[in-house]
Amino acid sequence: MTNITETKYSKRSVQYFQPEFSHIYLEDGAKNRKLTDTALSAFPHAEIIKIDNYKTVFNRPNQNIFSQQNTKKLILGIKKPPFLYKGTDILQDTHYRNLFYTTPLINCVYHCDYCFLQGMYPSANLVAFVNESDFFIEVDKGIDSREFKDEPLVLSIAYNNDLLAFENKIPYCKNWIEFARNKKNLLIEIRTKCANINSIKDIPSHSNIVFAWTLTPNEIRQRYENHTPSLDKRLDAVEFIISKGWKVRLCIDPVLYVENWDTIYGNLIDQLFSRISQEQIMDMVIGVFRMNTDYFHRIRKQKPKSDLFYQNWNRSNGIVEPKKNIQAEIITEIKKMIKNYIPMEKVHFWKNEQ
Amino acid sequence: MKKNNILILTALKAEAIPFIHHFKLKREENSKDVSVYSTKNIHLLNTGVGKKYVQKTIRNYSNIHKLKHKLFIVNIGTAGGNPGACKIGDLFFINKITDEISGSAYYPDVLFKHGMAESSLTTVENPAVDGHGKYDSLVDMEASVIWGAFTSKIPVNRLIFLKVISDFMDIKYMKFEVFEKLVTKKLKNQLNPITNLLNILQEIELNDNPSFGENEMILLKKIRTHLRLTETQKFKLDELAENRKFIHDDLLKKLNPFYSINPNDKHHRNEIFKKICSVLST
Repeated sequence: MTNITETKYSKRSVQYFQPEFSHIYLEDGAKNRKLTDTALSAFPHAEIIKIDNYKTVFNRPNQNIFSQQNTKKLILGIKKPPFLYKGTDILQDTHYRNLFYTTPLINCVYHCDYCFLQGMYPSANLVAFVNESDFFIEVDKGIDSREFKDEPLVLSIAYNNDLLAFENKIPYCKNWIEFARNKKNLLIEIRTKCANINSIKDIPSHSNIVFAWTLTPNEIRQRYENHTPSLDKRLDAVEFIISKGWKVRLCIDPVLYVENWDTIYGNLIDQLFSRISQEQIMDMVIGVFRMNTDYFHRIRKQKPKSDLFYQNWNRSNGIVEPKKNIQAEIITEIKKMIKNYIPMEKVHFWKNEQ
Repeated sequence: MKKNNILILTALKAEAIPFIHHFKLKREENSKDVSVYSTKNIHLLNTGVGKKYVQKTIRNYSNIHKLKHKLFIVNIGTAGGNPGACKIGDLFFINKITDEISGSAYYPDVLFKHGMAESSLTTVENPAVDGHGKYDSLVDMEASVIWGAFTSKIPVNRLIFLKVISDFMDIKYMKFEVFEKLVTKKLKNQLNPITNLLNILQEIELNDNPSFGENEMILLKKIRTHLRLTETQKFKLDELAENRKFIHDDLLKKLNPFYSINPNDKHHRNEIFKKICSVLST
């Protein structure tokens, strides 16, 4: 168990960095597309650098993601197949069997210490794909060819990003929501920590979309998240979205085993259910910190400043996770905390299946 | 706080002169094959002109100088420009380098505020001096080689290229001495913005520093050697030591009792290693 002490990036150097998205790398094939024009007009002062292929910038060897996190750049590119990826064991969180994810946007405007994206990709820069219609065609094919015909295709579009947090720059959520409207056998999950819902507030709701909000206690947010909104603001957004008739999933993921973790998460749960009743939400997802071992080592090589990477974790089946007894303690205690608020059949706990 | 190290690379001595004077750099006597000028944390290497010279000079430099931690490589020099896009004496921060021969493009990170105009650059094999101006970008003869020589050793965010326009690729008939004087003058005129950036680079704190201090590295090395650890044990020792250092910062205290132990055999070695792991994990 670690002590709660503020672990922060150096504030002194912040003044020396370029502003976020000061530069946009524009792939040749991405020119003259609607989303490209939208993105370029969202950053009118950005320096535009022409590139042949987004990978020549994004996949450069020997990048340092922690330096890049101080001033992320935007890369506008064209996604090539595959468009749909099978949901991984680490993503696994509900009972759905046709679980896939797709990546309209790679990387996130936030940078949370516990996020696997830091190890999954060689760069902290964002890649925005502008060939949206190609994604939609592939999703239609995916619906038709899904394995379990009695269940919908469940598609996470914000597994490798926070789309809603970037919505005021590129309206991906709006476009996906409209694409999914009236589709049969499709359920799209938009996972987010964002509290700014202005850009989607007037869109009429429908049942093929579920907004999944990750909720973090403020103590954890201050210590392990950067640029994310407070718990109160996230709950404001959740309440509003519920009031508009959307399906909502609430995620407490990851639960971090810090000093007084039980009090910290107990307060979060009490606060959450003082504002939202279980009838208003579709379900809940709860998970411990976990990460693919390769990603974890890749991040550690870059000398992260977060204590999360210097703890004695358990390594099992290619996953870095808390020791089994700690996982058991977390699950047992969380169950006690939520049992009076929500029936257990509406709660999904992540577990390492193998 | 200790300042970052900077290695300035210039092709011509004429390009180096303003920086040698400004930073009061002294010629390193022991650098026989290469021309190096230094103060405490700023070094300047004269590479010569053209890909072959640059490659050879960097190789020679690397043979005698260990690339220091917290090092920025800054290539400062002149470039040919296009009269429609720039003026003689203009300064540019390079955001894209294309090697004319291979066609490969390289992208230095643009992380720091630099206050300069930005441009792309093409590195050519032969001097572009006949005024035919077939290049849209700036033109030099070194940048792509410098990129290639250092990107495996230095994170790309620590490689920076600055170019001052010396000509419009039309200097075929200019005497070299005249060109040298022009180069020195134009770079001297841009000393302010360049040294402002170099000052930022000296001060900036990036999160890509080594985990251990010098004494900790020495101690870990002694333990590895004395105990004749296996590769797996070395890996585990480094990982636990890093954890200990980050969370408790008492590595020297915890490891000191172990550094002079010479094990009798493998079994003894493994026992000692087990103790070390236990001490570092508590």
